[in-house]
Amino acid sequence: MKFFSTFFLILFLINTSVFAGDKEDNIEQKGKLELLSQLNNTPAPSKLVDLNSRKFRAIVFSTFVPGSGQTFLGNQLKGIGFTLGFYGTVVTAVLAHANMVSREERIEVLTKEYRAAGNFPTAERVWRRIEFERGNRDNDHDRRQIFTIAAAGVWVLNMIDIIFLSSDAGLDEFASIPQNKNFNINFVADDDYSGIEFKLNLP
Amino acid sequence: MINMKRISILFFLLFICLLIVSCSEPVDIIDATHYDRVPRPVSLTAVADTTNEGSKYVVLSWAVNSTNNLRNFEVYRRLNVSNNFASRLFIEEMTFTDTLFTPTDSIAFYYVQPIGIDKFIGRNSDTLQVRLK
Repeated sequence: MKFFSTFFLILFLINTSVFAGDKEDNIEQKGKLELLSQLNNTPAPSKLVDLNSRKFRAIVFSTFVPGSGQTFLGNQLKGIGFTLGFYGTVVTAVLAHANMVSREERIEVLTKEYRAAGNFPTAERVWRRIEFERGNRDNDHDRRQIFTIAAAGVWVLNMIDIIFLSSDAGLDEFASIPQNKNFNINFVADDDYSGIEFKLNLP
Repeated sequence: MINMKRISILFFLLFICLLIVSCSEPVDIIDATHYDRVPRPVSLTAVADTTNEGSKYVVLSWAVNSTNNLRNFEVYRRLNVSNNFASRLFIEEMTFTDTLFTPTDSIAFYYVQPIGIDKFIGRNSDTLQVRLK
């Protein structure tokens, strides 16, 4: 639970910091220092982070969809690995959570049945089912914890990789289809377009 | 103009909040009460003999560890091996003399079932086999 909360707290902080500098479509927003420098005809202060760089976009992509930033920068295999790893663990954690909730509800029903039992054999039979469901529920709980931690771990590794370890393969080289391939699918980003690009070389 | 990015962020945060709230720890199950809700008869013993007139009889006795939530007992009996158990009678004491036998009966099985004040039927005693004399 702590890992889960920490994971989403980090996600929230990054999300906030990313979109704090967000700007409306086609409307350029300037900070106070920039406006002051413009009024005084002095050079604008240099930006600490270039929000329009490919690297920064890749970081934003990887924040929300782990692996997509790596793919965006041209490291496709690594990107696919992170994406599959993250969503695989997340889906498993969600399934384990759903199973756990179902078991909880089943235990609630059995508990009512147990309290209403009028004799020992019935109470004993219901009690054994409650214990059986508790065992399964605890297994689902453990599974959920393990895969949530794993998902958080994959996400953190993904962020470390995209920030410190991933190099940019370049837009042209990445977007073009290699000569030995007839079909390619890529993430692409131009000035006014970002999305998924399918390319097919006709014979 | 509605800023779709900010709405997306709001939904994203709402999703996270719901996700965290739903990740509660499992609630522990209740304690088992049926084992000692009604005290179980223990130490069931029997003495089989014949009267001077030649009638067979069996004297059963048992004990309980507590009398909390104890109303009475129901004694079950099975004559011979092939028959089924049948209720013999309800009794409040912890001893019972059974005289309802035919001359051909040679073996009897007994167990005692406790009944609570809340009408919960408790755990049976062990079954006792008695050879009639």
